[in-house]
Amino acid sequence: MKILIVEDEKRLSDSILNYFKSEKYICDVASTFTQASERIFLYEYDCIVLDINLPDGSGFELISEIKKKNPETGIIIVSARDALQDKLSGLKLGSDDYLTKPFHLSELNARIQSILRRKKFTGENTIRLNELFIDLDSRKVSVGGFVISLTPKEYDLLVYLISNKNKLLSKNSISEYLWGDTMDMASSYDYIYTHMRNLRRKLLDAGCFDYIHTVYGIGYNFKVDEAS
Amino acid sequence: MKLLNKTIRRYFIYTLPVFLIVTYLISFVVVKVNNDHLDKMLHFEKDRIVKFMEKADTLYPHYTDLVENYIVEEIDSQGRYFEEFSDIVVYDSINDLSESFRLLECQFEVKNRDYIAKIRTSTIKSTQLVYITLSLIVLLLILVYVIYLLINRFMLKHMWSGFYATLDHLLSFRLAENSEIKLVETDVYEFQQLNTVLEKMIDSIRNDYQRQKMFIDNVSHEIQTPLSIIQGNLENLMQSPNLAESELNYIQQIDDTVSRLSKINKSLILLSRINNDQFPFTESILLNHLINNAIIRFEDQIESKKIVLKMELEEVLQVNINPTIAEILVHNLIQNAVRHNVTEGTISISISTNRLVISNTGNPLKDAPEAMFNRFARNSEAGDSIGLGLAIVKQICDNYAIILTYKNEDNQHEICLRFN
Repeated sequence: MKILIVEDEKRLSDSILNYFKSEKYICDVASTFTQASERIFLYEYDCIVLDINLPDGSGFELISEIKKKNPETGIIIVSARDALQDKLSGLKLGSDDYLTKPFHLSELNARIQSILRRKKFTGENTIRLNELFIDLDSRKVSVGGFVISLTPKEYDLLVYLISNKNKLLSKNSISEYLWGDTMDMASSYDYIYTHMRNLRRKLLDAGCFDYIHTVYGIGYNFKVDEAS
Repeated sequence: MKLLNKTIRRYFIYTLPVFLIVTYLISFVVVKVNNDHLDKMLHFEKDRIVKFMEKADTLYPHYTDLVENYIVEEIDSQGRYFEEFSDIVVYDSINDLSESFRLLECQFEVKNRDYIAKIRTSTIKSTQLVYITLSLIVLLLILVYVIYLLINRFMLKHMWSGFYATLDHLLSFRLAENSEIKLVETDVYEFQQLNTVLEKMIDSIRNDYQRQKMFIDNVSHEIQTPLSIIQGNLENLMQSPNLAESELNYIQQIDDTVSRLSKINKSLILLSRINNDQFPFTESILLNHLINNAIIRFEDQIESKKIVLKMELEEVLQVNINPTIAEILVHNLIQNAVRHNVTEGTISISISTNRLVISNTGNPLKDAPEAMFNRFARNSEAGDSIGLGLAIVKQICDNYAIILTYKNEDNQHEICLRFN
C-alpha cells in the first residue's frame, strides 16, 4: 500500500514514518505544498495523510488536485486547528477523514487501515487474521467460522487492536479511541480493563488463540507471529 | 416607539391645542358677527318705531309675521330708558313647534310718554347659516391639518431615509463574514458624518477580530504541534523491546500528561474563540436530540456509577443557536452532571419551551457556588478533570444571552438555562 505523508513538521513526519515502518506500507513524505503537488502528479497513492496548514499553500487545494488526478485515493486531513469549518470544508471537497493534532499514531494507523479496507477493489470490507474474521460492514466477528457476540465497545477495541497488531498500545490511546473527549483518563482505565477482560474471555471461550497481551505499566499488545 | 410615529405624535400633541383654539376663536367670531348683525337689525327697527311715533300720534301698530314681530305699549312713566337684547324660545301652538328668536326689549320716551317695545326676529335662518358656515370652516381646518400631518410624514420619511438605510446595513452586519460594508450615499451632512464614523469603527473592529482570530489559530498550532511531536516520539519509544515496567510507567505518565495539556489547550482556545464571536452562524436546533445523544455517549459511566436518569423531554426545546456551540453546551453540562455525581446518584433533566434544567446529586460544594464556573475550578474528587467544562458553559451563556442560574441544596446541584 502506497501512502503519502504531507506534513511540514519534520519531527512529526519522522515519527509517523518510524511507526509505519513495521506496517506493510510504502511511505513517501512531502513537507511543502510544492513537493506534495509534484508527488501527487507523479505517483498514485492509496492513501494520503494531509496537513492542511502548509507554509506555502492551502491543503484544501491539494485535495482538489488529488481528486482530479485519482479520485480513488483516500484522504485523511490532519490539522492543528480543530475548527469545524476545516472539517466540513474538507469533507465537502472529498476527504475521507479528519484528525486533530495531537493524535496517537496508533489512531492514525487505525484510520488509514479503515480507509484502505473500504477502498479495496474486491469491495470486501473485512479483516481476516488466522481464525479471526471480522466483517466490518455488518460488525460481525467470528472465530473459526462461529459468530461471537461482542458489545459495541468490545468490537471497537478488537478492531483497534488488530489494526495496530504487534504494536504496544497505551491505555491513553485506547481511551481516546473509544471515548474521545468524553471520559477523563483516570476513570477510563477501569473501563478499559473491564472491556479488555470481557473481550479476551469471549475470544478464548470461542477457541481463539490468546493474542491479547497485557503490558503492565502502560497498555496492551495484540501479538501475532508474523511468520504465518 | 418608532421615530416617525413619535415625531408625528409630538406634532399632534403640540398643534392640536392650537387647532382647537383657532377653531374656537373662529366659531366665536362667526357667532358674534351674526348676533351683532341681528342686534343691529333690531335696533334699526326700534329707531324706525321711535321715528314713526315722533311723527305720528298713534302707537306703532303691532306687527307679527313669521320672522318679525313687534309690540309697542304705553306704560307709566318710569324714567328708565334701557335696551335689552336676549334670546328666547317661543312655542307655536299651530305648528306645534318651538322657535327661537332674538328679542330686543326697550323703553323709550316720545313726546313725554313712556313706551316699552318688544321687538323680536326669528333666528332660524341665521342660525342655519351660522352652522353651515362654521361646519365648512371647521372641515376646511381639519382638512388643512390632516394634509399638514401627511406632508410632514412624507417629508420626514424622505429625510430620514439615509439613516434607515444605514441602520439596515448595521442590523444585517456580520463580523465573521467578510462582506464589504458600504454605507449608502446621503446628502444630509449629519448622516454623512455618521456613516464615516461607522465605517471607520467597523474597519477597526474587523481588524481586531481578524488579528484575534489569527492569534488564536497560531497559538493553537504552535502548541499542538510540539505536543504531537512528543506524543509521536513516545509512541515509537514505547515499542522498544526490553523496557521495564517502571520505564513503561514513566512513558505512560508522560503520555497522559501530554493528553491533558492538549485538552487544556483545546478548551482554552475554544473559550477564546467563543469570546471572539467566531461562531456567528446560527440555526434552529432541537436540543432534545443533542441531549439524547450526549446521554448515549456517557452511558458507560452512567451505567457503571449506577446513576438513575430522570428525563422529562416531552416538550420541544428549539433554539436559534450555532450548532457547534449547542453541542458543546449540552456535552459539557451532561459531562459535569455525570463526572461529579456519586454512586447510585441521580440526574434529572427537564425541558420546557425555553428552559433547560439539569440537576444532579453530588458532593457538597467547598467554595462559593459562583466559583464553580471559574476556569480551572474543580472538585478534587473528580479525578483529573480539567476544570474548564463549566467555564465554557458560562462563556457560551454570557456570549449568547442565555441566562444561567445555579442552585445548590445540600447534595443537589441544579443548573438552569433560560433561552430567549
